[in-house]
Amino acid sequence: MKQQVTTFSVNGHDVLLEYDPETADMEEVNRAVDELEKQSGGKAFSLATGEAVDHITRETQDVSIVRPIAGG
Amino acid sequence: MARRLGIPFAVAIDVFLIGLNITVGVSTLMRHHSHWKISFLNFGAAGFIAGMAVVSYRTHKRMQFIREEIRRLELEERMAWPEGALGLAKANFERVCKLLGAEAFNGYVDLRVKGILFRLTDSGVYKIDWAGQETNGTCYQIQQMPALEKIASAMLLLHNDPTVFDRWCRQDGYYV
Repeated sequence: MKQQVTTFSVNGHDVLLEYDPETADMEEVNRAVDELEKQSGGKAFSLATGEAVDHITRETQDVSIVRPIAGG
Repeated sequence: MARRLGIPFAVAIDVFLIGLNITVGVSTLMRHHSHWKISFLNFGAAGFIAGMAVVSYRTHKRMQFIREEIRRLELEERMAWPEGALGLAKANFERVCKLLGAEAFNGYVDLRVKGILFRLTDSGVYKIDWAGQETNGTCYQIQQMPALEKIASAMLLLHNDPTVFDRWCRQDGYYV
């Protein structure tokens, strides 16, 4: 079953990345998520646990990149 | 003309008047010790002007906040959300609420992180003290997102690091 990396958006959420945790190169996935975090200024969270995710493993589910939301 | 010159002009006037009153008060006190009542009147006037300046500043900030709220609501009304967006937003919001133990009420959500109570509405985040009073607040800066997902985003970020609230409060606001 494929896992998605999403972000909250005007559409509800947008899928930024999709991978098969059984076959994917997790280092590549982590590099891609790091790049997405850098581009958006956000941080990856698991919507299965509510905790921030520093390193995605094959068991990590439902990752969403949360952008900085407030200020001022 | 004052309106065009705006806040810097008003501040300059206040500073001038406060300085003038303090100068006159000190001068009178030094030259005529018996006229101390007049001196204290000057000091009182300086304090009154300073107090009015603070009240005026806070009122200005509050009005600014209200104007931004109105703008945000108008923007939300004009937006036609893509099909399914609000349903997805609600599902994400409920999921995050359940994970973090947040309590959702009519119009706001309460989230407790490391002993600090945050109140999240569809316009911003507030810190609530022991008496249930808002002590500080900050507005959402991302507008192109359903309100429930703004709240969900803020909850996740606060749960991860509650000190981010203080950084938000210190930032200059801008809309994305």
